[in-house]
Amino acid sequence: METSYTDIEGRWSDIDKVIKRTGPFVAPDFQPDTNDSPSIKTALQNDFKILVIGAGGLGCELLKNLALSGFRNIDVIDMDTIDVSNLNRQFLFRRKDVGKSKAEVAAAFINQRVAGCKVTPYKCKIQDKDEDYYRQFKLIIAGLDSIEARRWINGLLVNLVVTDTDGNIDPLTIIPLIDGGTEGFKGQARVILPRISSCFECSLESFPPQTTYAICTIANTPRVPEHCIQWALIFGLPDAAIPKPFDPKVFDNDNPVHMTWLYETAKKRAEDHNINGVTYKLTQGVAKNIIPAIASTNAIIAAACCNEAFKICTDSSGYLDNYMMYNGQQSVYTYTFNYEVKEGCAVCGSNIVSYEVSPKTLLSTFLEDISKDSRFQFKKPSLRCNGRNLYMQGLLHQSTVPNLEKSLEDLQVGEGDEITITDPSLPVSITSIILLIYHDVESESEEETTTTSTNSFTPSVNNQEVPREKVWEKYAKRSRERTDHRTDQNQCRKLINQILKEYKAGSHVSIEEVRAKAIEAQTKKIQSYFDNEFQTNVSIKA
Amino acid sequence: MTDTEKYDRQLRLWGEEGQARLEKSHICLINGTATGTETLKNLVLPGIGGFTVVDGNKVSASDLGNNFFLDKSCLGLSRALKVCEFLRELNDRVKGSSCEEDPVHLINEKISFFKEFDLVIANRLPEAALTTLSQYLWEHNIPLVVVVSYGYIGYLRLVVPEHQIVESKPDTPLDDLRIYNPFKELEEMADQLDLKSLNSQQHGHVPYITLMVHLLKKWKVDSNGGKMPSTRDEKESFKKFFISNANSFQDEENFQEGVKGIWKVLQPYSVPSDIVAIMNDPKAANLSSTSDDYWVMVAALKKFHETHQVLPLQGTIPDITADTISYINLQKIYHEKASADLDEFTSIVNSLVSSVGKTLIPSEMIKKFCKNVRFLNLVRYRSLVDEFTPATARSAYMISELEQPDSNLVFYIVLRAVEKFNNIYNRYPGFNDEEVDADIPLLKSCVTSLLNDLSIPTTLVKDDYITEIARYGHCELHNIASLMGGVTSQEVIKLITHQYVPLDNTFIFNGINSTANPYKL
Ligand SMILES: [Zn+2]
Repeated sequence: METSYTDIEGRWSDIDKVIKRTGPFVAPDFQPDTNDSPSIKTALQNDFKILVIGAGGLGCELLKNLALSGFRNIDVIDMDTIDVSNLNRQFLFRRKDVGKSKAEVAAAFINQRVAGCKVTPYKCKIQDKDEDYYRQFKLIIAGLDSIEARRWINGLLVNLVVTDTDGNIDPLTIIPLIDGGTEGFKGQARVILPRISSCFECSLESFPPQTTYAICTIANTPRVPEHCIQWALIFGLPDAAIPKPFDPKVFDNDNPVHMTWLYETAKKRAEDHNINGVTYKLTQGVAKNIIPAIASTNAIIAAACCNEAFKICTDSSGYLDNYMMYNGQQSVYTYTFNYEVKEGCAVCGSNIVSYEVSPKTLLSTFLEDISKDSRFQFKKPSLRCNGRNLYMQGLLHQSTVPNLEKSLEDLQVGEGDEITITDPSLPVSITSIILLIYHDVESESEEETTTTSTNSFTPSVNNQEVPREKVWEKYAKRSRERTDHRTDQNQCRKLINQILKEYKAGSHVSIEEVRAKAIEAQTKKIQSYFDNEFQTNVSIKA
Repeated sequence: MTDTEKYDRQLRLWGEEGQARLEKSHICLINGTATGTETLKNLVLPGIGGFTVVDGNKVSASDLGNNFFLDKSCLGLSRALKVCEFLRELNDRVKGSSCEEDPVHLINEKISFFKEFDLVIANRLPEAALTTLSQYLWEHNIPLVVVVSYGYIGYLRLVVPEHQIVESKPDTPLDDLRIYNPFKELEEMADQLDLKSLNSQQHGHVPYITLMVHLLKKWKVDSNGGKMPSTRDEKESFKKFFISNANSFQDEENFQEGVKGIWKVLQPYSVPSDIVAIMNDPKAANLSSTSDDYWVMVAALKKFHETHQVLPLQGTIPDITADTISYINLQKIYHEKASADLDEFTSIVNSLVSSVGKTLIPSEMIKKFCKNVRFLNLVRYRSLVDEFTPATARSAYMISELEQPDSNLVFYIVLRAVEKFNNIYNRYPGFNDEEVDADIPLLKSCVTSLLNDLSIPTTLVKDDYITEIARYGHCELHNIASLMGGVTSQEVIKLITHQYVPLDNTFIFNGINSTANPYKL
């Protein structure tokens, strides 16, 4: 690559201190730069190309940090446009930029401010780029709020790693992925070395799909304002009997007219049940699943990510192994630990997970369960078994819809069969395989049989079947722990079936939409696994 | 486009009131370095009232290598002036000004300059000037925040004589449900419960709070001579009794919710010890017309507690399994009791206010205080002088921390020694390439003398750390500056809004392996 820009003498004297001098904590390969042979600086400025995914709160910080770490060749991908609510933290944007491409405005700002730096923007989805595009980078930093996008890029980078016939990894094919995420005063930064350290998919459980209120609570026993807002979204929106000043098919939560309707509908529902507290702000929060975001947390997490990027590229220090959690709410706490590789990881491990289920489970229920399962988190899965299509997206979709109301048994899916799943959340070449283990539930009624299938699974190791007794033990323990009310669940299933019927009758709202709505529109009712983990560790440390 | 829209994502954290406090604040930054401007960036964006940058330096080439709020056109111009101009551009609502004087000179000659600020952020100040400034600000009750980015290491220290917090906003606040000691209205409602008369749908939807209060009373009267369960056996026996009242425990979520928290519920009511400490503080006992509103309300809280043996009820209940009507009724009972408590608390506050001759405290403030009484917090920091004076330094604590393997506190020691070095040689160790090797033993002798002063065994600081700090040569890496700027601005926001709980009192970030620790020095 060309070196057209010459810096002012002494500009990088701070960075020079750590790349021209060795020290007791440098990486084993570190060779300090000399005036005659500035190989680290040349690499930073000319050889290494870095990709930043996301030009939002983290992305703006990442670009600034990389530019001032001496990197000059940076690509940034973001398909979003600038919104006024970004301006409290996305400091490369001004009011005049609202509506423009984040990637383009951010790149132009950095290029203008930091002389010599060349940021190239792409206003597109990460999925629009092919493997060859991603192969050109020294490393990739992701500042995304979407789990789906993070899974996709993680899967792709793990797949790019080449191993020889003896299973040795070609180190040149490893592209490190540095991933950051924030929410309010909390965040995490991690380094993923594909095929060497744990990958994003290994830790999927720490990002549970936001737990939805039971649909029956929303329908029958609303108690808090959030229930009413969800009701307006899930039931009010498709209900032709409720007048609305817009076409419900194109509901847009950025449109004030739509949001006002939603707010008023939720408020009415709340008044009917004597529930207080539905406000426009809360309605927005629930409908858009708004996560609080501030400049300071983004700065901390992005800087931790770029510090790792700089150290990986210069070997001038130690490294983060491999996960740092941050919480600034009460005092300033961090917890740094090694997130271990998960056996059975669909991306970097064996991709087979055994799953216990009743043969009488309807395919629709099965689909619902695996999509909700924090270990899979499928968006729009396609299912195949024994060479047959059980449920497909796309062209074959219609032909497989009737299967939804058949049980696994009726679909001739047997014990020990493997269901192969492809999903847009995983890169094309990766599939997840679910090994079915049937359990008998003789004494229970058919209704109950179906409900007990939820969430009971055991990961298997390298395709070895887990002994039935073990599975049963675990299952029994889980079902004891379960807090779900079966009567409620039966009501839920009736509702889902009702929605299914609507679907079949050609109603405009699809089951995916209903499910997505229910999953997306959330509140913070349940503390995530992560928060608990974090709290525990913090209290041990403190 | 309104500010409400622009600030939406932060208002969801600190609310209109926190925002109003931010917008009223004027913050001073000493030295417009990368660490300094990164801190201010995160304060200008959310909309503080104003800032002033004090910096006597001219923009140099190396500033362009780590400071985002400068560009080529600024070379040779006042750094205070230029960073102020670039920072102001981030938010047109924020006023920015600059002072081109040398901060050390200002501290020594015109220290009253700093009296006008709500908070001062000090960066790259020599130890002597820092100590003078900290004493002055301490006397004037102005928070001081000291931040350092040094190579891969970051250091942050907060100094405030007293920081009062009403809204500490704990991560997982538990509601005050009073199941163990129900108030009259709650008990009366629970008395009316007749489980046998309910159909199965209703039975599974009685809120567990009502169930608990009802069944606890029944159990203690029928089986325990009117006493609450206190021994383990008694608690187990109550638990069995509670479960036996379910039609089908497996199927009734309300009963399951009750069992889940049963051990907590069976703990006798008590006021958290830190709240007791705040109530017993001499400041609450000796009110005068100059007392802070906070202490008047604490005094009122103490009176309320003396009368009732409980704190005012918060009045919120969690979302639990229930049918809409029972839930709303229960909510109403708690809410009404909380209102009654608030009325009583308010009248105590008002009578205290008039007895000491203070102006009335706004009712909104009393209400906020009353809602948060279980989460009050008070931080009294140690002064820098106490920390720096060997006789009052926390040497024993430091020794125990330094004995931990890979303790990050070693960086604190070496950075303190760096200031000693600067005091003696008037330059920073390893600043010049040709002096790095020669500076290492000089820095080591500064470390040794500091450790001797503090009576800390010198073996607790390994040479590697001294070598590493000498290698840094006082360099400021942008990533570390940005990270420390993030943490610093977050703490400034907590101090200004009086929400959440700030660091007490030192934070060290180790950018070598990305670990960090808070210390109380
Ligand atoms: Zn993995």
